[in-house]
Amino acid sequence: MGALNRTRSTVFLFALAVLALYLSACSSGQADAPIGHTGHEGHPDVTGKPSFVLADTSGRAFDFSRDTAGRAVLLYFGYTSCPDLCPTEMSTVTAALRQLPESKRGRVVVVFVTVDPERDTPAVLREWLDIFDPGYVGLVGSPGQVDAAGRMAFGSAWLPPQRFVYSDDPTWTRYAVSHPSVVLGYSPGGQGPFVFTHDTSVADLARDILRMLEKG
Amino acid sequence: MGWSFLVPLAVLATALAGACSGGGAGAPTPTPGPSLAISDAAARAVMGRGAVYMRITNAGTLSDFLVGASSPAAGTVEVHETVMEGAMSQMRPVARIEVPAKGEQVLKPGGYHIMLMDLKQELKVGDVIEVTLRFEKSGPITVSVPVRDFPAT
Repeated sequence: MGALNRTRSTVFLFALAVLALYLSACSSGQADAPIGHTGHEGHPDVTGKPSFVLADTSGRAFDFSRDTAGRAVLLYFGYTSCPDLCPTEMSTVTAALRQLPESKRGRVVVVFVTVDPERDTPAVLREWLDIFDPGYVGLVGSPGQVDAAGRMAFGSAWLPPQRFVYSDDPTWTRYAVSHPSVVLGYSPGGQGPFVFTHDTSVADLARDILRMLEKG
Repeated sequence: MGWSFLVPLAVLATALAGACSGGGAGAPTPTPGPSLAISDAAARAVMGRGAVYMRITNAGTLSDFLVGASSPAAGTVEVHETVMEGAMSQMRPVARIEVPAKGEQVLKPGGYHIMLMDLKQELKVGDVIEVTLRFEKSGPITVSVPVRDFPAT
């Protein structure tokens, strides 16, 4: 009888503990919510910061993992002739960063890799990025170098940038280039990538940048 | 003043005519066809090229198709679609975009947009440009499009 009672009270205490754990998980649900977007069809299947070296717009070699160490990073692959997603996403990033206190903003670096090196010379890329923020890092490389960097960042979700010629006007090289539709984020300690889709709101991105900074 | 008696008569006739057309089988029978209206139009431009976004609603009973656009502000205007495949996206011209009957089509980032190329002059936030839309069935519609800042928060 005594043994049975002890068993019952043990079971009861165990159930209580499980309930308490469950409730505490619930109340901290917001803080534990994933950063960015998960379950995206083209979600990168690699973890951690990619390691690649490309030239920045001043011609200096930029070692992505080393030169961003200790800071949160937002990494984007795009091109300046892109009228839709690239300016939309860069402006969302810019607006989100402007919402952060100065002390936090200084701990975030934005890196834009062009997938269109033929038209995006360092000067063109610099001029375009300056519209958003002169502090953004613009990187250029050969198609092979950019492809390798993209593969490192996205894993098998990366597909080599493809040119789509949409006009046969001989006086003007009109073509679009395929590029990832998402911004990748990394914490200062290199956790990530966190994925931000093109429809991420400014408020959500600002909140998640702060959470990336807290992750260390 | 000799004609003043005609005014109430005219009012009565108009009321009767209205009652007639509104009567019969219930709802008036609209002419079959699309009936388009444009709202929320906005342009964004960076370095000589831009995109125009808007909502096209069709209150009519037949669908219509946006088949092209032009603007005095740009040398070339094309209708484009951003297509997503896995992690990648690609912009492509589209020949026609359906605006379904009793429905709408929204041109927005990551979907359809009207691309402005060879802008005659750099567009600034607050400028207003004219964009004329061409449809398969409806007549052309010219819209005044304000230039907005990125992003539309």
